[in-house]
Amino acid sequence: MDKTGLRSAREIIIPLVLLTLVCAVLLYISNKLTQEKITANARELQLGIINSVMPLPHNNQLYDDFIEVSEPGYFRNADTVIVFRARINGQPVGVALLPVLAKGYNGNIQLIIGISFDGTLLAVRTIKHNETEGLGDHIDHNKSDWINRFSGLSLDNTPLEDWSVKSDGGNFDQLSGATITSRGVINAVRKSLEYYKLNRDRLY
Amino acid sequence: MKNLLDPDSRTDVIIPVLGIMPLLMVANSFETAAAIGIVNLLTMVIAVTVISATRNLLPVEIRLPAMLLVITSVVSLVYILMQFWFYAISQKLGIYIPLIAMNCLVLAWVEEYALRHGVIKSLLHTLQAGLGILTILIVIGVIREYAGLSLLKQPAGAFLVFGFLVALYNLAVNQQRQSG
Repeated sequence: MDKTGLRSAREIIIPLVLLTLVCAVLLYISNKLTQEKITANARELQLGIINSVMPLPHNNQLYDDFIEVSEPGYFRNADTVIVFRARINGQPVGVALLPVLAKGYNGNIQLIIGISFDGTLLAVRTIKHNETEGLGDHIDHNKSDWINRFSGLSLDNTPLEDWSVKSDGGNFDQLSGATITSRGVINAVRKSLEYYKLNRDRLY
Repeated sequence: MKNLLDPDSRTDVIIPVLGIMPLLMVANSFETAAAIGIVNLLTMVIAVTVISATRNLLPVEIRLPAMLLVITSVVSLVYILMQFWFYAISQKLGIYIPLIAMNCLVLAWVEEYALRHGVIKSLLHTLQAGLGILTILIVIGVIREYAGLSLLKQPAGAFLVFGFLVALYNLAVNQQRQSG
């Protein structure tokens, strides 16, 4: 090969090293400058979701007041469920469980469930799902008010045998064309209430 | 055949079609389509400007690693800025933003165009291409969002919609050719 056609190693390496340095410094600086705001953004988004199922007044830092629980008997989660605890002047007000997995028609459905101190459901919201368009996706509160049906229910005012869809002999309307989805959500909510009832003292 | 091998005609047809694929998947609503389109536009514009401005400083042997370095850095920067200003949307796009770095569209564009043309010309041409891609993404996103078919919302649905759009386009071109 013609040696004059080749560049020296220095001609090749120095520009590349310089370019790498410039890129690295630029990214380092932009990361440093934005880190705090990005963490705050993440927190705000999460807090918005938690507050959507915690309408009761509280004066603690909900986002920082949590424990993680792992109860394979009650939750489908392979991972832990985070229990956020709302308090007023230190007295327990209620919890938000996030995420509670429900068995969907097409994979797991992620729910967040708010429960007041006495074990009454405050609200249930769907966070993430892959359910069928126009049928199972009605578990999203933006598409149907089906999921609002849970608010105000508890194991005390709704006996265990009622916690299933009407075609299974229960007391819940199923979403049309989405019995499996409805069943999965109802089961997950009921089991969360059962878990809460048995473990309330440990949760706060 | 000669025409196909000419980079100036080739880039406008073949490479965008291949390169747009990863962007299509996440474009399942107006919001996500517009967001990923704008992120892609920004990335392309910045990367092309940087590369065409520095193209004479870089020996030909290191152009490929240098281009990759610039593109990945620009994508990281855009991702950071997006989390800074539009956190909720950045979470919806998730892995698809970093994937732009691995997108052959940007690399091909930089290689075919920015290395051969001046800054202004590259910038204008890239803006035009990026806006075109943004428009197509929005059309596909809106179709997938409002068609009411869950099949179309899945990643594969993007290819179906895109395929039909390309077929329609070809049909229109052929008819025009025949009548003209």
